[in-house]
Amino acid sequence: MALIGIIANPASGKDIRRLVSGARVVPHQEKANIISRFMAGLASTGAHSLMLMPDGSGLSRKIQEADGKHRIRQVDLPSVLGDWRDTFHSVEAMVEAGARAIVTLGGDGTNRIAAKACAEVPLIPISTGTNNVFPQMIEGTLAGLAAGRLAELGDMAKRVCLRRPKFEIIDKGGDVVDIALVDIAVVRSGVRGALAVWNVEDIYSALVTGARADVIGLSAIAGAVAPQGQAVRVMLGRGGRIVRAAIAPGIVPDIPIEDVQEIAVGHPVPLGPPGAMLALDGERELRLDAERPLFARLTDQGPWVVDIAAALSGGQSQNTENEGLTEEHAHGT
Amino acid sequence: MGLSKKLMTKLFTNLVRAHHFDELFARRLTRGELIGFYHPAAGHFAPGVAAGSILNKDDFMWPHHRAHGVPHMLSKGVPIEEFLAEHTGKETGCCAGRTSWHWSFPEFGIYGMTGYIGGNFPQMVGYGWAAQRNGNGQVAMSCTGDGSYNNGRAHEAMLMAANWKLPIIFLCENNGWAIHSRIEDMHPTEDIASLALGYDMPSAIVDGQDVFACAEALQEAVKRARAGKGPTLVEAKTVRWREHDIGTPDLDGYRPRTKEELAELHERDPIRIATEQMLDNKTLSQGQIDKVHEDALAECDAAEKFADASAIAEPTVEELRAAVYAD
Repeated sequence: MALIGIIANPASGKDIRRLVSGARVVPHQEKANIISRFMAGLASTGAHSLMLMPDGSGLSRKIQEADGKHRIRQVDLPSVLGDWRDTFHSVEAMVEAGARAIVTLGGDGTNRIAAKACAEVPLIPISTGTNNVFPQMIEGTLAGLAAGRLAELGDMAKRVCLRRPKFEIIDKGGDVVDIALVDIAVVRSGVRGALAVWNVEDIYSALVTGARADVIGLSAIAGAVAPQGQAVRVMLGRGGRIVRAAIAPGIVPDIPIEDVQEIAVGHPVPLGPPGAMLALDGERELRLDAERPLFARLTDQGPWVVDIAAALSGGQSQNTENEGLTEEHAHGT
Repeated sequence: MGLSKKLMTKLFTNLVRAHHFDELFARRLTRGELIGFYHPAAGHFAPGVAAGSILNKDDFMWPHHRAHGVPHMLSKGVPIEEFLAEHTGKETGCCAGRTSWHWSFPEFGIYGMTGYIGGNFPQMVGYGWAAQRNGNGQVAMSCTGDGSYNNGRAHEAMLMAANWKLPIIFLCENNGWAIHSRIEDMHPTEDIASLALGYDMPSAIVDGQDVFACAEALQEAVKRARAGKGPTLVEAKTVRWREHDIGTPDLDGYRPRTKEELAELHERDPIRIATEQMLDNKTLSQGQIDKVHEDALAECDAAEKFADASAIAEPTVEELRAAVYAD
């Protein structure tokens, strides 16, 4: 019986951007409903076992109540801390327990934490966050069906998965300090505060793993000045050309662009100026210190993500790592 | 987005002051040097500090009962030694030493406290309406806990505030406990902010242990209110390290809260969280932070001396009557 992990971030879709823009609210009730529908889709493909991240705000309890058949067991964390560590340690436990896939409910920030611990286990990211470049706006039922299909494929599961890029934040010695799946914003801010970034005037520069014109967030700034999908660094500043992009739901400011540089895989990009704050996938996280310079290094070895369309259609995703992969290879025959 | 270094220093200083004054009040009650009772803040003071620190003097505020509003009031500029004197029944107290609980500082927009949870909400609508009618950009900050939102009054107040677009900020300082009851036993959803949806009111959830996060969110809510955009519900997830009030057992239902649970709650220390950030962004050095603590302790000493040296209030019947009824 295949094991599927569930990470439902109780805090996603509820931050300060509900006040500064018209960002949607995703209450516990809806998140629990999404998981119920996910389980219905998954159950229709056969019997599976499920492992759920516990939380201190009642969401996991609500999900378990909705599961009348008691198919879900909670990850046994030493303590529930109510922050990113719950996600990180739960994903670690799911990987350790042999999960075939991990469904995540959250935004870019939630998936960034999951990606730190998921290793080779593919994610099924369902959007319940604010800026959602990494996760998909997908109905829970379909995500459940896709998870079931993935489980059926067994060792061939990567056929319906895509490998996403990521930034590694490294120090001078090359040690990885942190990661970002979608973007890095270098911002003027004294504190982590309410975490989110919504004011373009506070942004020095933005680095994105892929320019996108069809999303909300920093990727959209890049999408206005660079080819779709290209990894770039965009320097913001006075005197440059002005573009418009949706940097948060309901916020479409004029953005002065000073320079745009393509980022190559494996090439470290220095991050500055010292004293600025790095926002990783939309959340202020790290301060730049002159005594410890940091760099962003793009890699194409980010987390695996289930390609829902490929999984449901019985096809194969457009994934270079799948090239030459046959049934024989997959089963080791 | 972002806070100036000046405001960060103010928030940090008020946080440290709130912490030391809370310990002072708690200590005095256990020594029999405080009249009435005391609900210690212990862990739960960042939201109140943030709320008080960002308001103008003439804004209305309803302080939370935890720490008897000390974090909120000292941050708003209230002379806290007058509150301590009041709480020790002295003539120099803010209400001439006649109450330990139903205090007021009208010149700071603080008009009283009720004896029952949720009793603030009807008054908040009144404050909000007054602020709107005054037309000078005043706002009204309502600071109560998750338990207060069990009340019908809360819902009536939010309904009316939303209908009339009153400049009210409903700050829910959610520490997860209503005396001995866990929030999950009292609410179908542990996110009080979700209630705002039903009143077409924006809401946000913020880390109530991070005074800077609280201030950022509350600033935005105040900005909306001052701009005439109506009420906002901000929920700050905080913790309560101690018993509901000193002398009452610290129970989970009918069992004591466990040491393990309390140890987990101490992981989220608002002073430590703020200190780390102040050092990280070099707003203050360790030496300057030590000085903030020293100054706060000196202020506590001075407040105690002021209160202890003041005469005991012994009002006549005529004076009491005059304090209750207007001419």
